[in-house]
Amino acid sequence: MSKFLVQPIPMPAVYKSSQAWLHRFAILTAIFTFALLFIGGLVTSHQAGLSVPDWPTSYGWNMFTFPTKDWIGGIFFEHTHRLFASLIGLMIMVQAFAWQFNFRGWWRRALWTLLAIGALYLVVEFFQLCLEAAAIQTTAAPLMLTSLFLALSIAVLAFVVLFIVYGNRNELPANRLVSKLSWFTLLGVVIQGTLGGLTVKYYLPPAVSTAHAGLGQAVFCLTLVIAMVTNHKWNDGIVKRIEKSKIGLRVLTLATVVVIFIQLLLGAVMRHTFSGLAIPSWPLAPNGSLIPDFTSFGVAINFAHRTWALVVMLMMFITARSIFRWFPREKSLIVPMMLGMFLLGIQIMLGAITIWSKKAVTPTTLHVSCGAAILGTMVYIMIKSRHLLASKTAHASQVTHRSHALDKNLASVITE
Amino acid sequence: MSKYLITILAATGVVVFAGCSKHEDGATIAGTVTLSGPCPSNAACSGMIDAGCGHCSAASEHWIAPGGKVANALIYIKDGLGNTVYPAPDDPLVLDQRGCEYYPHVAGLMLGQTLKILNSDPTLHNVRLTSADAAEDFNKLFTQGMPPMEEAFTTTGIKAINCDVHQWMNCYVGVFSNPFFSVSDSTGHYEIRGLPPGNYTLELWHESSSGAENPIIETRKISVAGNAKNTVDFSIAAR
Repeated sequence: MSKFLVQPIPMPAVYKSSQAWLHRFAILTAIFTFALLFIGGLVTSHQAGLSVPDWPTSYGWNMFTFPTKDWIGGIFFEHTHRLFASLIGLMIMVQAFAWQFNFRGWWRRALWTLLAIGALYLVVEFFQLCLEAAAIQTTAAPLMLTSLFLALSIAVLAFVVLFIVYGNRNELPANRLVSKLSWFTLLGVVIQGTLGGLTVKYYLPPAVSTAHAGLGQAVFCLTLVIAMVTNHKWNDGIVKRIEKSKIGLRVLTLATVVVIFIQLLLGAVMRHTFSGLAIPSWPLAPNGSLIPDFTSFGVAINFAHRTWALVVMLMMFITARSIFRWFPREKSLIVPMMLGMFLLGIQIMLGAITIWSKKAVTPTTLHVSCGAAILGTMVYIMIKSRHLLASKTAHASQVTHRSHALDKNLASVITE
Repeated sequence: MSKYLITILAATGVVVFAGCSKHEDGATIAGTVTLSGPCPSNAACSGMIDAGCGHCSAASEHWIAPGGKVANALIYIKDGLGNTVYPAPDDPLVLDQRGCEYYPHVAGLMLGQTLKILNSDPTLHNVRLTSADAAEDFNKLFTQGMPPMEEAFTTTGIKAINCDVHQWMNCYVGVFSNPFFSVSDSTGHYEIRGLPPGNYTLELWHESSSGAENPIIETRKISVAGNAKNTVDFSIAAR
């Protein structure tokens, strides 16, 4: 056994089958939150953020009854973004409830019943929209999306009903951390929705739009973490190891996540101040140099985004080197790190193509999504490393504690 | 007899001449706006094409006229008029949304004059106005069958109007405190009439291919006297 190993962490309560379903639901939520980031990116790429001037209604209609025949032009992207966001919000609400509330007591039953009614309402509305989209027979996109929304809302309704009928009636979920994370995510979603409404009402002020973009990424990371820690194998066979490297992997991955998040915010500021082509060439600026002439704020923020990308690359290389050197057999770290490096290469190419294509919609939106994927990958590695590793300080204090206990035992033996 | 005839004819000539002078009071500034350099490449249309529109237009279709002439350039007197107050006309400026385009694409109106917006399309639009004065900005629904929208402005300047449902759909409205402005037509020709004698700054505004964020602006100093016709040509480079 490796001399790095410390005491194994105690196992939590036995994972119940209903919690396995909660884990699957959490994975679904994380996947669709990522898809929502892509759809949100499409809204900005198509400059459709103001194509639905009112909120929370859509052209005076209840959002869930706005006719599919009017899902045209920019409205298609903005309106479907709102619908999808509402659905994801419901999923996160269900998740928070499931980890917090069992079915005991009248008020908990009332809450779950309300949730079921909400899910049923969405199923009915999406079913009607689906029929309407099938009847108008124009482009396939509205029919595909309404079908997806219908399928997802049915899955949520089924989950809620099954939880009510078969769920854990007698005991609260074993993991209080997940419960808190879920409520935190729900709060994030509520704030995110409010920011989305405010940015439309006030004609896309850059600060609000940037906050909306950044918070969306953060909420995605939270859903990812919930999906990770709700895995019933999360604590199986875990024996913590101490950090061997000078700068621990836990600190390194945290720093990398922060650096990537800063890059995403710089990108969001750039997009929402229409500065994406402030330096219209890549890799050199129009003056033939790597450093452009700083004639405006747009040029400065664009240059900052390009330069910070180098910092992101450096941090990811250092993290990868640390993982490959100190944990060459730890697949749970190696595989996502390799994925992260692959995505980094793709991201650089997409950034270049975005400039060369003069911000064509597809590469620009994929560039946004790839950034989110890189962030998610590094968050995964960060959480995993914290789960697998103990700091040298923690190990030293455990060793000291054991030696004190040993001394006491020895003293008592001698006395006897 | 012939003396009387000559007198009558001369008097008629004077009257006619006087009448003509009244209609042509003030100087005229006219000219042509031409394109220097190569034509810009057309930006590709993006987004879903609405069946109610059937097409989308590239940015340069709005201003590149045949023969290298530039249409939809707004030329106006920037300063030199002093504090003279000019009454706004009662007739509104009509802006129509037709075939998912704004007609006219560029127009001028006076402070106090009403802008009347119609929707002649079988589809919905949103009408979003962006101005240098953020308090004037608005974003309103305009569905099919709605009555005309009437707006009035409180500040001068070039205002951009966009439809975000159809991303190519935009137009520009110049709001001025005087009636001395003109928009170049499809032959690149513009004309400003009735200008009092004086020294003026004549300015040209053009959206170019970059849009209102980076317009082309050119300025000329000009002195006009009496009822003279002055020619001021502009040559602008595409960007």
